[in-house]
Amino acid sequence: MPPLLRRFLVLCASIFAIVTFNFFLFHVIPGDPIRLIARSQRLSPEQVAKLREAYGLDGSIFSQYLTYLKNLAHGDLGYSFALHENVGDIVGRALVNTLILLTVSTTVVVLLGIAIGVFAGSRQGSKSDSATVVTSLVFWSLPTFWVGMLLVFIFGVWLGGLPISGITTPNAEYQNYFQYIADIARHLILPTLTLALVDIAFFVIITRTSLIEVMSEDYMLTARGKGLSQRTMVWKHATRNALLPVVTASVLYISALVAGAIQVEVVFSWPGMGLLTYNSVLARDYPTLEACFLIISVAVLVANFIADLVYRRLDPRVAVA
Amino acid sequence: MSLLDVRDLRVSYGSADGDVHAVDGVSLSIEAGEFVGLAGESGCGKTTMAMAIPQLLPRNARITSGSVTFDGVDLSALDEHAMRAYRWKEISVVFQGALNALNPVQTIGSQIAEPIRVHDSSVTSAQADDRMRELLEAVGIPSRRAHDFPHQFSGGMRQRVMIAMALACRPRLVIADEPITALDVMTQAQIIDLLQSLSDRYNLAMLLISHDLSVLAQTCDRVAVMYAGKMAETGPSQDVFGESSGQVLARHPYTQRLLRAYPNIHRERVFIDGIPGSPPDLSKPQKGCRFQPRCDVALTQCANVAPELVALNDRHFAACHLLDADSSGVQ
Repeated sequence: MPPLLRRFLVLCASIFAIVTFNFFLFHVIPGDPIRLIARSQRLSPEQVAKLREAYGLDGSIFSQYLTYLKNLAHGDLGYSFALHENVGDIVGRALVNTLILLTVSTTVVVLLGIAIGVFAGSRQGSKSDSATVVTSLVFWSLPTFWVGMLLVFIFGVWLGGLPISGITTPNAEYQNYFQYIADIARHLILPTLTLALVDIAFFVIITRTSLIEVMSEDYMLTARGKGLSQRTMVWKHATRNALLPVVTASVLYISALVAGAIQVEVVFSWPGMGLLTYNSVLARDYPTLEACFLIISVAVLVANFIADLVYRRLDPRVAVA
Repeated sequence: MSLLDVRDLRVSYGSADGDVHAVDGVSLSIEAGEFVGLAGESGCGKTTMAMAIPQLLPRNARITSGSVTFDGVDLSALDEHAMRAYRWKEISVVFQGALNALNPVQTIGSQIAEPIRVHDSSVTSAQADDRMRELLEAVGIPSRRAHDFPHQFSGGMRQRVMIAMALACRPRLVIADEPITALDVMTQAQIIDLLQSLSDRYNLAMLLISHDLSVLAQTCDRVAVMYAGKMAETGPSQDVFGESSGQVLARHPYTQRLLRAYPNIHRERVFIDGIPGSPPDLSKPQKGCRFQPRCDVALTQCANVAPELVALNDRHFAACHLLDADSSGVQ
């Protein structure tokens, strides 16, 4: 069997398993959506039964599962119990918002992390190396929501001037498309800064360790023997070899961010997947939750596939294997 | 004046158990175009001594005394920046283990061409490319393979790539550190032939490090045998490794035992005669001759006084007390 086909079949099987697992997971966790809806009103048992029927929660769990699979195959993600809207539309909007935050912050975090990691790793044992490691670890150990709130306080309350919530200014009127983009960009600054401060250590430490390891390889002695400058040795010969573990780390990071930088999205009211998942759990909104988890799972699988492609670009040896 | 003149070189490695004196007062000179072999068992300081020449020692190693004079310039006094001009341009290295010595993510062509432009910025990339292809052909690799990666080559081919790379800047001295270790015998012979023909063609001086005495005997003008960081014997290869009417010409007991430890296909020798014991721990101070504990012809002073190199003729030297008193031979 060609490796690509095998990989594709594994991918399909994984998605099916995840869909099944998610479905049963949310039905066994305690809490009943109908009871949540009916909580505030006095409803007769007949009315409750009618509600149950309307939401398709009357059959056995297995028949519900089959219905879910059938609808899913038609691209129908269901109807939200809590938001009374098609789940596809809700999740679609949230996903776009999350992707905007994810793209910007991942780019910043990964690129800055690599640059700082290479800087520190190529000066192993020096004062600037220790200072970099200690600083990034201090930020790494701070809770994300706390850093977010601190930034809200500094930039929102104290200095002012930067938006602290949402993705656009409410009721803003835009003359043209650029103003709209600029508005989103301004709203992106604080969430991105929060993620960068806290998460950059992840990439700094991995890049640094990997670079130090690579620097002791035999081919680095060859590079030195050739009379190359330290700069050429580090950037041209070491960094590309050192990036392989960073690619893995980036994939893990991106997958985690699709699941929602929950803390950041909640602090800055960023209407993305994290905030949506959080609210859906509180409302026991099964269809939305299932859709969220499905998208998160697919994102993880896709991210891994992309990592595979990047590996091939970075390391010619992978292409043969 | 010799092309390379190493004088009384001492190199030590810092370690948790104290300094290890890997090279302890070794002198060696190489003339332009000369092929010099360096022999000795693992850990005797061969590689340390060789890497001290282009100042490529690891961070925990330092030259404690002595000088490395190349073409009249003491390299050990140069800083890293000044040293860079000598590396590869004047002195290049064929490293041990070509798979690890080549960068896995760069094509062999770019790795060969790289130092050409680093050392001479007037060379265009097209010229460097031409030169790289010419070098590949010279070592017997079709130049169309320039875009391949190291892992796509066999062990012998990789060693050829390494050799082509070492010649890229037309250096005057090439240090070949165990270039044929881990290759099969046929490939070993090919690589040695290649090294010899290239050194003739480009008038290279070469320091060939190997523990294969037969290879050194065959290829080198002069050989040096090291033991535990000291020079044991040095001289023209026929004087050190040769025989005359069935008698070995080597004068140091270590060299003699080393020669007996090798199988000889020309003679019916069934047993390979090893040397019992192991080399001394170089992190401890050494008193007397370092080979004395393993030497079966040791004298009383061998345990206390370190022997100096004794001139046996104007080119052949050995460091042994047996040669002090009478130079009629050690049996």
